[in-house]
Amino acid sequence: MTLLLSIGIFGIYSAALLAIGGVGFTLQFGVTNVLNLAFGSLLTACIFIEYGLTGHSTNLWVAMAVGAASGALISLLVGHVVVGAFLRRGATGIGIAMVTIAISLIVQFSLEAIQGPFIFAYTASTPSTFSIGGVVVSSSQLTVIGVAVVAMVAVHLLLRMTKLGLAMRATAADVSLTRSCGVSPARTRAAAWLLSGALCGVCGVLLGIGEGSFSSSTGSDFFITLAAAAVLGGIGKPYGAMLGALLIGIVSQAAAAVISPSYKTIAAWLILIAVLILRPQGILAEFASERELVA
Amino acid sequence: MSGGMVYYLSGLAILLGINLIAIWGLDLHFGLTGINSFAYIVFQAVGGYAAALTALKPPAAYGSFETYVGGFNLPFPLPLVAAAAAGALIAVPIGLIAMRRLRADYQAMAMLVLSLIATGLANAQTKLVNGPAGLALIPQPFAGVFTLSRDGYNWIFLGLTAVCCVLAWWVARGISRSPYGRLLRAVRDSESAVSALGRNPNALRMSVLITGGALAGLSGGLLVEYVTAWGPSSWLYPETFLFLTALIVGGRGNLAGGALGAFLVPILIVEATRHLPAFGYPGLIDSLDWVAIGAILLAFLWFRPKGLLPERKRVFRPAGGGPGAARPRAGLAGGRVESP
Amino acid sequence: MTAGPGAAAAGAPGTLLQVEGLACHFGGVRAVQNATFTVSQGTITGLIGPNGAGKSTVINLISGRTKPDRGSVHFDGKPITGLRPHEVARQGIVRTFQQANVFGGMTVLENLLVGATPWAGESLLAALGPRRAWSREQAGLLERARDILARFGLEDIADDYAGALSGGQRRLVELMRALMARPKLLLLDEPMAGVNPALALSIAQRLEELRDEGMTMLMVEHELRLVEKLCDPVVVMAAGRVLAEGSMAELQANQEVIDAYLGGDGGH
Repeated sequence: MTLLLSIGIFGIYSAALLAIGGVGFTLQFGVTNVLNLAFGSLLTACIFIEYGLTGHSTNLWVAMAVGAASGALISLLVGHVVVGAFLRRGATGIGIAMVTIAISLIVQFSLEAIQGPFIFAYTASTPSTFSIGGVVVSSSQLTVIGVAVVAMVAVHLLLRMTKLGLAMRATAADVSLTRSCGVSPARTRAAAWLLSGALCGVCGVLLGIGEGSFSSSTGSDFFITLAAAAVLGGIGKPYGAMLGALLIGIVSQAAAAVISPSYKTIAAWLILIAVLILRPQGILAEFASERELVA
Repeated sequence: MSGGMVYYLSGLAILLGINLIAIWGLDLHFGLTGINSFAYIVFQAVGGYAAALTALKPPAAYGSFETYVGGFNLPFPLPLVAAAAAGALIAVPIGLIAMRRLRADYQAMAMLVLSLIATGLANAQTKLVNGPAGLALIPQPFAGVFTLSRDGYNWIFLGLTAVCCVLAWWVARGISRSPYGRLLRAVRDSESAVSALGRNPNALRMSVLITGGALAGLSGGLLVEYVTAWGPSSWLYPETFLFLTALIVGGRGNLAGGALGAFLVPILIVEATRHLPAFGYPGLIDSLDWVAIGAILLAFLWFRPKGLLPERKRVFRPAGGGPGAARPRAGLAGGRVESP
Repeated sequence: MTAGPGAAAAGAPGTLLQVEGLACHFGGVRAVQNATFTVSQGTITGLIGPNGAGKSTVINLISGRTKPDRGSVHFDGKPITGLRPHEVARQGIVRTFQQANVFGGMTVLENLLVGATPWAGESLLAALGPRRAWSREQAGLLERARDILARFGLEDIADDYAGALSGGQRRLVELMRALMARPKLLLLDEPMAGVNPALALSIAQRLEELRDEGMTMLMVEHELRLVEKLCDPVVVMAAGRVLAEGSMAELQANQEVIDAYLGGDGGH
C-alpha cells in the first residue's frame, strides 16, 4: 500500500515538473512549428543563471521569478532571433533541427566549461518534511506540485480568456487565422517563445531545487522525458502535455520502484518511441496529418 | 623528427582513417539518401562492442573484474568482420523503428531517443558490456605475432587502417556513381515519385542504412582495437554531431567533401586543441571543443550549408563522341563528367 | 453489383483498366463513393468534375497511394486493388502528380534515367560490382533519354538541375520521365494546371501523338476545351460519385452532368 502511495505521490511530483516544462515546450511547438531540441540546454542555462545571480539557499519564489525571467529572455533570443533568422531564410525541418542541436551544443558545453566537472548543491531554504500515509515528502516537493497547478491554471486562463491566448490557439490550428484575431503572427510567435521560456525557466529552477543539485547536463537529461510527455499527449496541445506529464510521471515512477531506479528515464524514452511508432500525433490530436507529422 | 613526433603523427593518421570510414558511411545515410541518421554513433558503438566481445577472452580469463557476454577470443580479422556485421545488423531495428514516414525533425528526434536508450541500456545492464565502467584490455590484431616496439606496431595498425579505408572508399564510390546511388538521391528528393516509378523507397533506405551501418561498425571495430578500451562515455549522443558537422563543413554527397570534413573537424579541431597548453581544469578544453563544434555547425548552416566541397552536378558525355574529345559543359561549378 | 473478379475483368475487348465500386473516406468524409468506369486501350480518357469531386483521389486509389475501403481495380485483366504504389507502377501504370514531382537535386537527364523500368543494374550488388556490368545498359538508357528530349525539343536543358526549371518545364520533365518506362497506362493528374496556353497546346499535341502510337491515358483535367480536344471518352465525377461516361457530345446532352458541372459555373 505504501508502495502504491509512494508511486502516486512521487509520480505526481514528477508529473508536476514535466507538466510545467512540457506545456512550455508544446505550446512553443504549436505556435511556431519548431521542434526545439535545444530546450533542455535552455533549462540548464536558467538554473545556472539563477544560481549565479542569487547564490544557493535562496528563497523559492525569488528563484522562480529569476528563472522565469531569464528563461523568457534566452528563449526569445534563441527562438525568435536565431531560429527565426533561419526560418525567414526558408530553412526547413531538418535544417532547423540541426540549428537547434547546434545551439544546444553551444549552450550545454559552455555551461560545462564554466561549471567544470562539478555538481552544485542547490537548496532553497531548508525544506521541512511531512509524512503522508507513511511516505516522506518534503515541503519543496509539495510546493512544486502547487506551483504546477497554479501554472496550469494560469496557462489555461491565458489561452481561453485573452486575445493573445486566442491568437496562439489560432496559430497552432492554422497560421492564416492569426491575423483575424487582431494580433500579428510575428508577435504571437514572439509571445510563444517568451511564455515557453518562462515556463522552461521555472521548470529548470524547480528541477534543480527538487533534485537538490544540478550539473551542466541536468536539463538535457530531463528534456527527452519532457518531450515524451508532450508528444504522448499530443504535440502542440497544452492540455495534452498535462495529460502526458501525468501518465509519464506515474509510469516512470512505477518503473523505478518495480524494476530499478535507472529505468525511470528509460521507461519514459521507451514510451516516446512507442508513441512515435504507433501514433505520432499523440493522444489528444486526431490525425497525424495535422501539422504534417507524417511525411 | 623525433620518435615521439612520429608516433604521434602515425596515431593521428590512424584516427583520421577511422574517421574517414565513419564519415563516408554517414554520407551514404545523410548526404546521399537524406536519412536523418541522428543515431549514427550507435552503429559505430555496436561495431566497437562486437569487435571487443569477439576479441576478448572470457571474463574469467582476466580474473572476472569485468562482466560481459561473449569473449570468444577470435583472431584477426574476425573481430573486424564481426564489427562490420554488427553495424549492418543494428540498422534493421533502428530502421524499422525510426525510419517511418515521420516529418524530418520528428524522425531526427526519434533517432536521438534511440541513441539515448542505447546508452541507457549499456549503462544499466552491467552484465552485457560491463556497464558504465566499459571494457578494457581489448586484444589488438596481430598482437604477439610480431614482436614490435610501440612505434612499430602503430605502423602495422596504420597499414590495416589504410586497407580498411580503401575498402570503404571503394564501397562509397561504387555506390555514389552507380544507378543505385542515383536511386538513393531520388529518394532524397521525392519518395513519392520514386514509388510512382516502380521502386520501393523503404527498401532502398533500409539497404543504405545497412551499408552505411556496416562502414560505421567497421570504424568502431578499428577504433576499439586501436585504443583497446570502450565504454558508454566513448559514444555519447553528441558524437553523432561531430560526424555530422564534419559532413556539413566538408560537403555532403561526395567523397572528397567527406574526407575534407574528416580532416578538418575531428582531427584538426579536436586533436589540435588537445595540444594547447592546458589551462583551466582538466576537461575544460574538451568542453570548449564541443562549443566550437556547435558554433562551427551553426556558422556553416548559415553561411555555407552545402559545405566547402559541395556535391557536384553529374554530366554525361554526349553519346557518339563527335569531333574532338567530349568536354564538360561550362556551367555551374563545372559538372563532373561521367561516362555514359 | 459484384460479379466475380474474372467476369469483371473480361469486360469489353480492349478494356485496359476497370474500376468498380471504389470507395474511400478521409476523417469522416466520404471522398469517393462507388466509382465505376473503364478505360479502353488506345484512348485518352478524361476525368472531369468540379473541385472536390474526388478525381485526384481516384487517381490515388488506382495508383495505390490511397487504400480503398471497398471496390476493385483491374488492370489488363489482373486485380491490382490495394497494391502499394511501387507495385502498381511495376504493372505498367505510371502516374504524374498535380504538383510537378521531379527530382530537383538531379539533372533532367538523371531524372529521365530514373524513369526507366527497374533493371538489374540498379541494385546495391551491381553498385558494388564492376562498372562494366551496368554501363552498357545505362548507355542504352541514356540514348533513349536523349531521344525523348529531342522529340520534345528540350535537348538544351538536359544537364540543368530539374529543380531550377520553370513550372511548365518541370511538368514536361515529369512527363518525359514517365515515358521512359514505356508505360501501358499513363495517369495524368492535371498535366496542364498552371501551364501557359501555348505550352499547354504543345503538350496536348505530344499527348495526341503518343495516343496515336498506341499509348493509353487517363487524364484529370479542368480546362474543358483541352478535354474536348483530347479526350474520348470522358468520365464525369461530382461529390465523389461517377455521374456518367461517354463522349463530350453525349455528356453535353446529359442533364445530370449539366446540372452538376457543365451548366452553371462548370463551363470554366
